[in-house]
Parts: sequence; C-alpha cells; structure tokens
Amino acid sequence: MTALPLRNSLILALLTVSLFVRCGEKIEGRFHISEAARRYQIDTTITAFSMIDNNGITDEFVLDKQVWYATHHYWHEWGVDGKAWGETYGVAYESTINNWHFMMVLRADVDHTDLEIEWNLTDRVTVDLLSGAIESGNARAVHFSDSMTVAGVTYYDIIELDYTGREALIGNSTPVKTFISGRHGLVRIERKDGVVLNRVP
Amino acid sequence: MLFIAFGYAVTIVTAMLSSCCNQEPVETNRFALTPQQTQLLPYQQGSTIAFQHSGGFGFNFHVSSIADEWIENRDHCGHRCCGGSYFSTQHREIVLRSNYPEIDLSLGMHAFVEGYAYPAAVQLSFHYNHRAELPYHETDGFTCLGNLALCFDSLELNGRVFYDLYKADFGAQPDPGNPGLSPRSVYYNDLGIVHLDMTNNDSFTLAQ
Repeated sequence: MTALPLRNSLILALLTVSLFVRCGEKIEGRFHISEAARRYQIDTTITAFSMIDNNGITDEFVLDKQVWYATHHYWHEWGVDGKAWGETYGVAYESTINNWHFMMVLRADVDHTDLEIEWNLTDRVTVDLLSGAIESGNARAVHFSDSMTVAGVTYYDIIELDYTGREALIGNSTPVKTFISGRHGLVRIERKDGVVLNRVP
Repeated sequence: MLFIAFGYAVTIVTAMLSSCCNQEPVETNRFALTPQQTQLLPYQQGSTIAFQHSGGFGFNFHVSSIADEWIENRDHCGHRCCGGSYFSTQHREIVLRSNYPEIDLSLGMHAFVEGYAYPAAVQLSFHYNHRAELPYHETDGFTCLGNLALCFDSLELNGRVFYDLYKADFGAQPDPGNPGLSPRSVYYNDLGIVHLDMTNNDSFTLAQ
C-alpha cells in the first residue's frame, strides 16, 4: 500500500529535478549596455546644474558622489562564481533647495538593456529599452524623442517619463512629467501643483 | 573526578553571575529648558508662518512637529557599564516644513549646563544638511559674538524692516568640492526665523 505513493513521490522528485536542470542553464559572460542605450549615459563631468521654476525660484542639482554611483560605470556580478557580469551605468543627484533625489540607471540584461528612473527613493520605473515596455512602476508611459528645446537651448536624445492620470500613485515630490536629455540629464520637470522647472542654460 | 567537574561548574556560574549587572543607573539631576530659553523658539504646533521668496512668490511654513526629549548624560565607562549615575537634559526640536518650495527647517535647543558639552545656542538646520548656530546667554537671550553672530538694531529685508536682529552664517557645505548653491545666513529675532539668505542671492523672508 505504501509502495505506490513512495514510487510516485520519487518520480515527481526526479521530474522536478530534471526540470530545474533544464531551466537552469548557466549564464556566463559579460553583458554590455546596448549601443542604442549608450546615448543615455549622462555626462558625469557635469557635476551640478540649475533649474528655475515658473515662480523664479532656482534650485541646484548636484551629482551625488557620496551614496550611490561614486564610480557611475561598473560591472555588476550575477551570481557568485565570477562568471557572469552585467554592465551598469548610474547617476544620482540631490537638489539643494527642495532636497529632491533623482536617479537614473542603465542595466545590461542578457538580450536587452533596462532603463531605471527613480524619484526620491520611492517612485521607480523600469523600462526595457529594446521593446520600450514598462517592466515595473506606476508610470503611464515613457516616450523617446530626438530633441527638445528648453529656455532656448536644444537638448538631444530625450526621455519623457509620464505619470499623467496616475498622480495619486506617486509622492507629491515626484514630478508628473520628467524630461531627461541623454547627455545633460534633467531638462524639465512638471509637478502636480503646476510648478514647472526648466534647466538653466 | 566528580569533585573537579563540580569545581568547574561553580567557577563558571560565579563568572557568569559576576558579569551580570543588576544595578539601575541613578539620575542625579535634571536640567529643563528655562522659560527664557523656550521663548527663543517662538513656534506653536500646527501654526502657519507666511514667507516670501525674493522673486515675490509667497508660501507657508507649517510647524509640523515640536518634540521634547530627555537626554541621559553619563560618564564614559567603556563596554562594561553597570549602575553609575547620570544627569538629564531637556532637548527640544521644532520642525518647519513648506509644501513648495519643499524646505525643511529644524530648530534645536539643549538645556544649558555650565561646563558641559552642549553649547548655549539655538541650532538651526536647513534640510539637516546645512547648519547654523545662534548663541544665547543663559538669561539674557541671544548674544553677539564677533563672527559667530552679528546683531542689528534694525534692518530692511525684502522690503520690510525688522528690529533687534541676530544673524548667523551656515557652516561649511557637506561637499567642499561643490561651491554651488547653499544657504548662506539666517536672520532671527523674537519672531523666530525672519530671513534666509542663499549663496545665489535668492532669499526667503517672513511675510507681513
């Protein structure tokens, strides 16, 4: 009577093990940020920049050198055997007046590159740059365009992070719209309360 | 053999008991903030204070918290503190917060104890990143101390005249490599903070 359940259990265990062995093919190698994504590697020689709002108040964003991404560009190990590595490029900024925290990271995956944009350590969105699909986060859309003119200056390789219609899902400090230039970083912010900040040339 | 084992057991238990401390520390004194000192922080929980940016934009600070705590001050006793004594000092911290611009200001004050570490000063911080100190005399209120605090009988700030002002500069920036925007100085009187001056010459001033 007990032999049958025991045999079934053994078969089930063998099937499970074989499934894991088949699914768990080892990933090895160094996985690079895609060439198409490299246009969004923000220039880290720009260590501070100003933005002015529609009330005339100026804030300054300073490249965060103390907490994250002191090196900005590095290889992140997947696993522990030293055989799989993903290229990562990240920048973070703190603002002086409003004490905002903005972070943007490019992470290589096996067959694509992820873009991660985070405001104030809370509202984070991850986008697959190959398909353009939002993988996680509450954003309504992420758009990509060639250029945008702000305060008379044309910036290129623009990312637009859009939370329109989903304002209730984000913190009051998180902009409803964020415009980022691939080289220069933040160029325009639009808040829930109607305040708009533009990059100072 | 049994005798030796018993000896070891007694030794171990004795050592364990001797390492335990069952003595409660004794409070020898309590130093509360005096009424003269608390008057130097003229804010009420929940109240609203109107400010104006130098460009004309008006906004409000809200008194979001007033917190008192008693801090136990002990002599240094290494890693095996047992019993002993301490004295307590009252500390008050008041936080002012504005919705936009999103500025947090904190004002802190310790009860003053002669010869002890806490300075007789109101400690003011801008987002907890930039700090200034306004020194006061134990009974006479704020004092002028050379470069630490300047005094003005009256001063016009953002189109409004203020009287009996004390000015203190914020200390060095957290990142000395970035000489960019930061708060430069604070002006204070019996109304509390009346003016914040920034390094880009923007300022925030108490409104009428």
